[in-house]
Amino acid sequence: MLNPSLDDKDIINFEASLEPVNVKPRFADPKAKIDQDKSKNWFRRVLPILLANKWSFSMGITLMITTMMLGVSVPALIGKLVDSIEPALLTGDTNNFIFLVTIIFIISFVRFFGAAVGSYQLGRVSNQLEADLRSVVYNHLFTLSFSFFDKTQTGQLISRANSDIKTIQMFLMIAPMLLTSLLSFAFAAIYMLSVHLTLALASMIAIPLVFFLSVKLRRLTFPLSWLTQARQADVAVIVDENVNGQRIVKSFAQEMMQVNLLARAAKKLQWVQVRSVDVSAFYNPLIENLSVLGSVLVWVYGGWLVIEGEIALGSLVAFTMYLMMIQMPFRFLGWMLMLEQRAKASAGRIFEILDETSEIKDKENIVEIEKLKGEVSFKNVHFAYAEEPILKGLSFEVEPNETVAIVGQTGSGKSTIIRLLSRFYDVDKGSISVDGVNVQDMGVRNLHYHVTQVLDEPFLFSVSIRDNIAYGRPNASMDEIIQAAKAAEAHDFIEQTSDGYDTVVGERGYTLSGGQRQRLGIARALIVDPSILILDDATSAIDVKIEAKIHKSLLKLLNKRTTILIAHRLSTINLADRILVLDEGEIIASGTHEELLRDEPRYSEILSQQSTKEIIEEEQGEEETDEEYRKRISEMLVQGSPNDEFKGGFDE
Amino acid sequence: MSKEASLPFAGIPPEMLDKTNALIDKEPDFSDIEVAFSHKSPSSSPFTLWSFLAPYKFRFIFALVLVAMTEMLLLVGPYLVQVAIDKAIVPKDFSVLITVAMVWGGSLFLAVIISGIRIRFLGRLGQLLMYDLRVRVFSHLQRLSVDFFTEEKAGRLLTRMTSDIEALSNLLQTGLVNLVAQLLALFFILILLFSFNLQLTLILLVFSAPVMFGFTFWFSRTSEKGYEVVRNRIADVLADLQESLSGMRLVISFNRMKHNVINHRNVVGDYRDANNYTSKIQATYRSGTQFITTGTSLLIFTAGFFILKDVNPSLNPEGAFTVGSLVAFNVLVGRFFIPINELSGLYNEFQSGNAAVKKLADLLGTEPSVKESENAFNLKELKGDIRFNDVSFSYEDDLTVLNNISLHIEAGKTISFVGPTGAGKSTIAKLICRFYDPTRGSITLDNINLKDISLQSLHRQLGIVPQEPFLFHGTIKENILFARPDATDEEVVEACKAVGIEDMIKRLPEGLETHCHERGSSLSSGERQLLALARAFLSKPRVLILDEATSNIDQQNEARIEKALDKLLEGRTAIIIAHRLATTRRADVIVVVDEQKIVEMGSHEELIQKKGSYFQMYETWERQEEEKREEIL
Repeated sequence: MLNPSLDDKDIINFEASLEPVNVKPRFADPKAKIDQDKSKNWFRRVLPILLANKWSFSMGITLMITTMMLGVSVPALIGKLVDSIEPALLTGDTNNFIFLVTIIFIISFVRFFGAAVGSYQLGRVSNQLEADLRSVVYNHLFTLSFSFFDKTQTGQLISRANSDIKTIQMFLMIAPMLLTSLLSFAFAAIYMLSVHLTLALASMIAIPLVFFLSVKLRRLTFPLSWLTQARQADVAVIVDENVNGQRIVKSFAQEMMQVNLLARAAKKLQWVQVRSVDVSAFYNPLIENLSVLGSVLVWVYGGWLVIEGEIALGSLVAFTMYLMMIQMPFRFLGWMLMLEQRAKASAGRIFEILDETSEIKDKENIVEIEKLKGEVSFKNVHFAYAEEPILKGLSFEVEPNETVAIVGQTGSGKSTIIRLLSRFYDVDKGSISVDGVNVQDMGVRNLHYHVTQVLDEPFLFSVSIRDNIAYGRPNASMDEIIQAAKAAEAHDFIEQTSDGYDTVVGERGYTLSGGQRQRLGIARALIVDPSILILDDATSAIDVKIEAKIHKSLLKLLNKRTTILIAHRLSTINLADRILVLDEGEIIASGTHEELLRDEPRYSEILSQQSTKEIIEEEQGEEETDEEYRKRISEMLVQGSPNDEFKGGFDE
Repeated sequence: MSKEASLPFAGIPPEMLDKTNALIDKEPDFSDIEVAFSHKSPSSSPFTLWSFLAPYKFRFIFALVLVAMTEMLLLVGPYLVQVAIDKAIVPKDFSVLITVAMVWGGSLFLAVIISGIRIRFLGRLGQLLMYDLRVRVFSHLQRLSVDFFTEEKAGRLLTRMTSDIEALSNLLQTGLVNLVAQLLALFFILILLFSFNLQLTLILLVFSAPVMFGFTFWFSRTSEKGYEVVRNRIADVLADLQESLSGMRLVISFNRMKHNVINHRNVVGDYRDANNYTSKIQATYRSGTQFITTGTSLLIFTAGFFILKDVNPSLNPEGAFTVGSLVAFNVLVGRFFIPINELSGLYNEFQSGNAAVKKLADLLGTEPSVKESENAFNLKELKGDIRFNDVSFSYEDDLTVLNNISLHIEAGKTISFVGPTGAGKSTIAKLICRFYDPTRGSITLDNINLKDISLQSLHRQLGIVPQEPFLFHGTIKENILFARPDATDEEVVEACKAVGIEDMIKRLPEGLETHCHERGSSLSSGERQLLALARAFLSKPRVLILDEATSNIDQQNEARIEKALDKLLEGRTAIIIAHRLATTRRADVIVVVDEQKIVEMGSHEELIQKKGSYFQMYETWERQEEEKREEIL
């Protein structure tokens, strides 16, 4: 049911303003998603994305097969060429020789183009597949509800989206190439068998051994290369700690201990690398020389056959060339099989994300509200994150344009209230409505269009200050941005940064103080001009004097909208028309500051306890976990991955 | 050849864990490794590739002999092919074939053994060198003074220890050895080729070799650049993903999904294009080398054909050029391209290896700004009597921080420095720790100049608690033990009791064994500060320095800290630098520092009576405290 007062044009404009976009797409969207059928195997589930590029893929495959077949003809032709020399010298008729040279040259030239274009096409398809998978996973993340992010760690998600997708790409790039080169084995084998059965069999005698040994080699080197990376990361952690904590090391005279610590970590790294050396010292010479063993047999046994007159010298030359050609794929086959196992495991982890569905979805018939008055009502709301109930029958109402402060101890459910109002989670029982419409009956985007929250620790993106403020309205004019910054008392310090509004902030840019970040957070909310504004401790780190100034400009702005404040500073609470006291998931009192001080003893108790606890809370939030720390370290490293061992040469 | 674009290490994937754990089980115990460390630099000569390798020169020579042997063994095959054709197949002599088979087979057997030894020997040598270098660079880092470790350098120092050492290792193991090996191979092959046929070899050198060399050189340069772009693009993709995940709430609540989806698609698209570029280069190179190889064969056959045509077959003397020689020559041409390709690909390795050597030489050549003097002696038992004699200090940029400070801190007394930010309070603490040396004047400890005391024995007896308590990765116990690794469990518990954190530790899931940086066990900054105090307590310092150690503490822990200080300050010289005047009050002597000088000095009561700048500071502070209390109520 749409708002009857809107005509078509307004609906389109409103649709556009719900999800503002200020970036031009430079690439087409992924054409397909993965197969939803969980019972299919991993390859078939990825297949739709691969098939979206079926023309490039089949072109690549066709070209590869064609050039393989052309390639197979070359040794035979060179054999003929060799055999044509003697007669040409005897008869003086060079036509046949020159004809063969020309033919081989043309074939090689065509093959050069075919192979270049073909393998480029296959590479492109696998790159496209990787890009599409990345986009599909990224886009899917936005459809998930917050309960998913509660149980999944960011680091894990990034590692999945990162190395797991890369593994699948690697496999899908290598597999077709390797399979086509196996096809060339078939053709070469047919040629060889047709020329001389026993010689063919004798020359291929070492192939199973080569295959077996290379499988064995891969199996041994894979865990070694992973452990090597882990040990390198261990060394990096020690170095990083000693650089950052050097004063502590020095002041307790623990230099020697740290050197020993590093020596042990470096020894472990040395140990695992020496193991890799030993493995390759054993297997590589064996594999290399076994491959040559076939050539020895061909030259000796084949040489005898030439002496006996059973085959020509040219055939012998062709044989040795084929032998080189057919052995290569077997060396890499073992690797491909291992890669398949890893790709399967990786795909499984990717599917885990993609198979996740959101509990919070738009209903079929949603109510679109273009202009909201701003009435909020919680009716008998129950909510629990996991087992432990947070809200137990919470009810309250907020009038349009009213400013309400919610006061309560940590864990009393304050933050849950605003998460529910923004429908990050759905209530277990009861209902939440705005302007009398249940939030579950509205479009999620529509709800967010009207409800904006400012958190105590505003996250800033690594973009310019201007883009951070205009986050919710990317196409806001510079005037509007400055206006919002002024209202949040941020304009002055922004002007003082090196590039003003163009200064890049956040993780990869200029470091702002907590108070400055909060001011940008407020400006970011003000610019979208929401009907319902939620300030969750949004000025806690701001200097009292500046806070007073912000309050002055806020007062003007607050009167135009419904505002919900969560605060423990008295100065902030004073902004409210009414204060709700929350305790253990229930509203225990409501009134003005004076009324509550007089009538509700727990109110002043909560006020005095809050400050210290919240300070501790804040700091805990900033704590870097082991996993995040390791991730940060590893990002500083440029290391080879186990995938490096493929340097693209099995078909040479 | 060029390295594939590598992704950041995200931990061992779960499906590999079983296998890697099995490996770890086999790992020997390295926990008893001890390395000598001294504050005096072991060598004064600059770090060069040569000085680094010199101690290992005989091993390298041995390695090169192995390299030469394996390269020669590789050529036995192609040579025997010629023999087989010319001496056996063409003259129809089967017995020669048997000899060829036996010699060839024997050479293969030898090759397996010798190249096995070569890989093993060189690999182990390389790893040993890397281990030595890691310890050497790290020890040097420990020798450098505090001023060297700025935040911006952290990342760069990490690269020195990781990718630069790695690059040097590549230079040695693949670069230098490969250079020698391939030059040798090229040399042997050319001898063989020339012995087969002069004209054909010249044709090969004039036409094919430059084309192949140039083509590979182009490839290794271009693909290196291409992978550089790929690495940057994937970094962009991951950064964008990381930001979207961290800011997920904002993305959702500001309805930025569509915008971000398009933006991410653009970033991913750029990454794809970078990948496509390298795919294109790879595809061109791989099929290109194939084409050049086949083309060269045709060239040789054609040229060989015309050479044969000029020779009168009836006058064919022993050892002249034959069809068999031509075929054998062709077999060798395939081998000829291997060193050509390898050599042209070495350029990148040499470049980055060279850069790494320079950077490491720079680092190892950096002298500590605070040096231990030649005849520094170990200080036995310190009493804790400190004197500043006309001390001036300025950091590099000529900005004077302290100007002619003279001061006497009696053993066992508590002295407190107060004053505005930037007045030089912390510098005084740093000078006592000898993190810096005074620009002018001298500091004595028990009437001995600081510069004459070995750094080790000085720091052993000083305990400093800085403003930002730094906790290492590891358990709480390990962090407390950091001050004195040989302390007993009882002593650790005692230290915790002394600073009043034993109940807090009991509350933690694994008590003292709780990891400091794990989710769920994170400590508040007050608790971290108390932990740092426990650490200082355990080291039983003669002089304790609290450098703004109590300024970040919340009210809850305030009382605990004050109590802990009672215990901590007992019987030792203490220097307290503080913002919070509550901590200051307890000092025997309060020193007010402002504008690089000592403004006032005396006990709390004396200074209050004096009504000078301390009095003013104290008044303002008290008023603020009062306001804070009011605000809460």
